[in-house]
Amino acid sequence: MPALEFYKPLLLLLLPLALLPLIPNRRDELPFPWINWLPVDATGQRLHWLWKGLAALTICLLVVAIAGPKSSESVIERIGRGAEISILLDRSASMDGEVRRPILRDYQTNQVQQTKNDLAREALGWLLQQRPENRYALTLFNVVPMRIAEFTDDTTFLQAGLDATAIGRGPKETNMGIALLAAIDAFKQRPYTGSRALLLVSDGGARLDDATRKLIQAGLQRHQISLYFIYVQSGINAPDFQLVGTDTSTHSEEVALHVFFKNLGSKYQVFQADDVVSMGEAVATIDDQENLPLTYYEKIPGIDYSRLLFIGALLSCTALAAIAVMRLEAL
Amino acid sequence: MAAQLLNKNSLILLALAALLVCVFLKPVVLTRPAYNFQVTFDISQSMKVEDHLLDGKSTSRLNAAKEAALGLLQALPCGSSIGWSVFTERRVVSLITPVEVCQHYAGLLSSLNYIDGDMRWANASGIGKGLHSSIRAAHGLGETTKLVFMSDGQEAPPLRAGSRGMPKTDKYPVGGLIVGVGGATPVRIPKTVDENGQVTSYWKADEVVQRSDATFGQSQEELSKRQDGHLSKLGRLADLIYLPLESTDQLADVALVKSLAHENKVPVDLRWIPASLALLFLCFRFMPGRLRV
Repeated sequence: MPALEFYKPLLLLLLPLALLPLIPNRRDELPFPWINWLPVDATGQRLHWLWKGLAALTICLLVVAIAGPKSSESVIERIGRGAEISILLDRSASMDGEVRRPILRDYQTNQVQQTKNDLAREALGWLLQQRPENRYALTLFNVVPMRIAEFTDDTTFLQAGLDATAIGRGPKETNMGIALLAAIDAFKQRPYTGSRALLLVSDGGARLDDATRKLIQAGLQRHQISLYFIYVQSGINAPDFQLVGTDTSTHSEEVALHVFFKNLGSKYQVFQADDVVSMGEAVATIDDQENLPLTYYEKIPGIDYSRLLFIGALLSCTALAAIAVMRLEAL
Repeated sequence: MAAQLLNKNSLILLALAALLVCVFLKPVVLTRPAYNFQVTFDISQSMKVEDHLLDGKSTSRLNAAKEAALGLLQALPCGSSIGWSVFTERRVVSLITPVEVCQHYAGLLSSLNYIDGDMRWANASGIGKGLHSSIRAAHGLGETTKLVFMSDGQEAPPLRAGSRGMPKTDKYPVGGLIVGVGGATPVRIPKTVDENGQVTSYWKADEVVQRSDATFGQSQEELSKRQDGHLSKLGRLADLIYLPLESTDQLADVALVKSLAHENKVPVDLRWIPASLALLFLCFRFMPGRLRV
């Protein structure tokens, strides 16, 4: 139940002003030498008290209205569908490079090229728009992880974090290991409220050392996180994961990372994207899969009651004026 | 009858009129000053030096900068926006483009808390180049965006004498401030810290690049203090106000000025004006002890 709040509660100190009309007022006296001569005017008495009451009521309503009453903003727990997704976005210089160019046919003209970062931003932005009730955490990484947002449903804020990655160029090197651990860390000390996913968007891979591998594996399992890897392909020589087995003695870092993920034992899926369409499909697939019941919170804004009170004050003041017309004000 | 109403109860009629206005008054669109800041934090190693006096206690330069930014965030009126960037080496990485401060306060606060030396991707500090990238970035964010650049001014490696270390910024007219943090006495720069944030070693004289134009012993680049001269010179070159930070609230005081504001159209509820008038009229009408008129 939302509580009653006031924008300016101090103004309520003016409430005693409502007592003013109840104090006998010399302005409303009529000079009459001997009222015992007069018959008792019961109607007049009642009207007089009504008049005083209405005046007090009007003042009362006005003071409360000016103090700005509203019901407090409340949060309602709802069960919807969605997930908690920890987004881990590569913010190294290579992501500012162009995506893999398709080999042009003779009749095709060269199209405007997008950077890998453009693609990633666009697709993730789409996800935020489609699923505002999901909760997202955003971490960028290069040599170091940079946490931008802990889990939140403030999609405007998350979008501003994505937008920021378009500015300037990132540092050159990457360190995937600590980045993954940081993204897993986002789930730390959070109650389990629905499906959890780690969404890694990168154009590179990594050969991780044993200690890091163990920590990643343990973290993913402890927090029950499914792993999605959107691999943004850089060049014509980018490896095709479909053709890769579980052989760990590979030379390419990307494949090494993919094979490590595959053998983790957690839920894992890889997507290879090199244009808007494949990127969009990858994100849409993830969205489809991470669609279990999720507890989320909906903010109910406070209701402003001042207009109602002003209308009340207006009606009561109108009645006051009406009685004023009827009253015998002078002899 | 009309005369009677007008005679003694004119105040009630006035109150009634004021209340009518009050009920039908729509929010009026007024222009209010609003601000749009992109704040860049220098997160290079010298910013970890704990020589900034804050409310009588010494704290790290980066901490002092973050406290000042928090003060600014809290002082900004609703409708204003703020965003964060970090700088080290010669690069600026933007973390958040400016978002409205009232609606996104929680997010802004938590992302500000995350800003730390841990985000440092390299150990060098080209202040001029960092400032130049910050200016370019702020310029790209629209003309209302102003820059707040927080640094101690410690260039590493040091600049050659006479070099400003900053490319020209004439093409990017962005207003704003350079905020200098740190103390006035040269102190050692932490080199390594352990897991608990305790400094385990400091940079030694033979481990850092010394000034080539200084005689032996004169160049002490392993020590660092707030470089007011360098920062204020950069400020003059880039047309930014230089503010040596002495207290936490100072940034908000200096930044919230007309020259850095833009006009923001906001609907303002003015019903309190006719409502207060109505209240006043009624109180006068029922004021006891007044002589009969």
